[in-house]
Amino acid sequence: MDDLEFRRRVSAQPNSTDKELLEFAKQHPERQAYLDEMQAFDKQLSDALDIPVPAGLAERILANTAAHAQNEAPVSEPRFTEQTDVTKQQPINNVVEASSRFKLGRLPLAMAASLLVAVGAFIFSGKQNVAYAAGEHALAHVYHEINSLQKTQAISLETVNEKFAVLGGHLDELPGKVTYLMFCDFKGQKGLHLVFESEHGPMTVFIVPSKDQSFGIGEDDFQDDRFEGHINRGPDADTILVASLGTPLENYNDRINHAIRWLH
Amino acid sequence: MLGNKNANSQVLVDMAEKKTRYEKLVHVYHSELYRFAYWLCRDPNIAEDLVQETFLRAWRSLDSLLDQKAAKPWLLTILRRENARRFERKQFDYSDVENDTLVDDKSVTLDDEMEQTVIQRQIAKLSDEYREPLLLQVVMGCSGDEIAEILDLNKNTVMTRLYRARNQLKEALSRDDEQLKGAS
Repeated sequence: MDDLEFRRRVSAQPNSTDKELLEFAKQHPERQAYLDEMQAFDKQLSDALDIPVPAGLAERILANTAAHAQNEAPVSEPRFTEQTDVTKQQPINNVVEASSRFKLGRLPLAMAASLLVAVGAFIFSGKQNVAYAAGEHALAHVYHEINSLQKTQAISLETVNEKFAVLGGHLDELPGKVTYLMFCDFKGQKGLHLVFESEHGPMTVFIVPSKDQSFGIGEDDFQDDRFEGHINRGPDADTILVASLGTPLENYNDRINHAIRWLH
Repeated sequence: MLGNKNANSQVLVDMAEKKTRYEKLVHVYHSELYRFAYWLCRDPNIAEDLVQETFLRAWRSLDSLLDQKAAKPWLLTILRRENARRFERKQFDYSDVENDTLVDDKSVTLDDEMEQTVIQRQIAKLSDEYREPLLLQVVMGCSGDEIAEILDLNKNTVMTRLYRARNQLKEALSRDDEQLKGAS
């Protein structure tokens, strides 16, 4: 190794543990100084690139995978079964992107895959397999828009009602300042996604017209390690509340549902 | 399919093992992958989508990952492919929260912060062929061999690019320094 080669190698990999390289550096103070300088420079680069990772990312990734593992069960069903009796199929059939992936429709493969994915969904949900679907979906949605819980700017009730009117509803009040308002897609059904500041922290409210039964199946109460939620199934819409674990949702449930009026 | 209990319970066991393996991958690699994705696209929301999509694909094809030691280059290969694909693909159905939440809560002095911003800007200015190997090395801690595999280059080329990337950065940063001095 000569000095030129040494410098090239150090620049390419300042933290190299190559013995030959380190020996060569020790033989001359200038070389050692160059090695130290490049290592310090690398530390600077590494610090500059070390941005914070969003909180809860790993949990969101796992929740997202779980949600997809459930939703994907019917993906592998051959497409010609779509017209059969829907009520006999598993509730996880209410998915958004069910159609175009498995165009081959080879039955044995599709069935094997379907079994595997269904088993996967069972294992992932851990507790009650498919009956969990609606709550799981609500949680996945909250995690996907987790930043919505950090908003602080107030949105007026009029603005909320301008949007809500599109769905045919009206909201008399909410027990706190509204900080997030969005139309969202809930398994193909357009609904309203709100966040307001409750006394127990940000509370998410989904108001989803019930005609497609997007939240039709599953337990009314659901939770994971971070959030808990409640589904209120109404004749016009399902109202889903999600808040941090330990929030007395029952205190809010009636109040919010009474504040919603439907313009028929 | 009835009367196949043993086979079914074996499937359950396999699935449970797969899930454990997968969760471990997520916990070990999600931070580094997020940072790498962020510096590829410089947008926290897109970076998160990329990481989500990468892990989802990883879950679907976990069986093809035979050697756990190869997990990092494997995940990075998926992520780079997703990144290349992201302009072609229809966007997610969910709405997006606007991009205003990148908070850096580390306690750094103003000088450090300025210096970091200057470095970040200069890294962003590097051409892709130099920036990517550098990010893989500095952010992901990849070896020369791993980088060569991920970028489908030979190792000598990778080492040359790393060497040039650092040289370009050093030159650019000392130019910045001189300009600052000249201005004051």
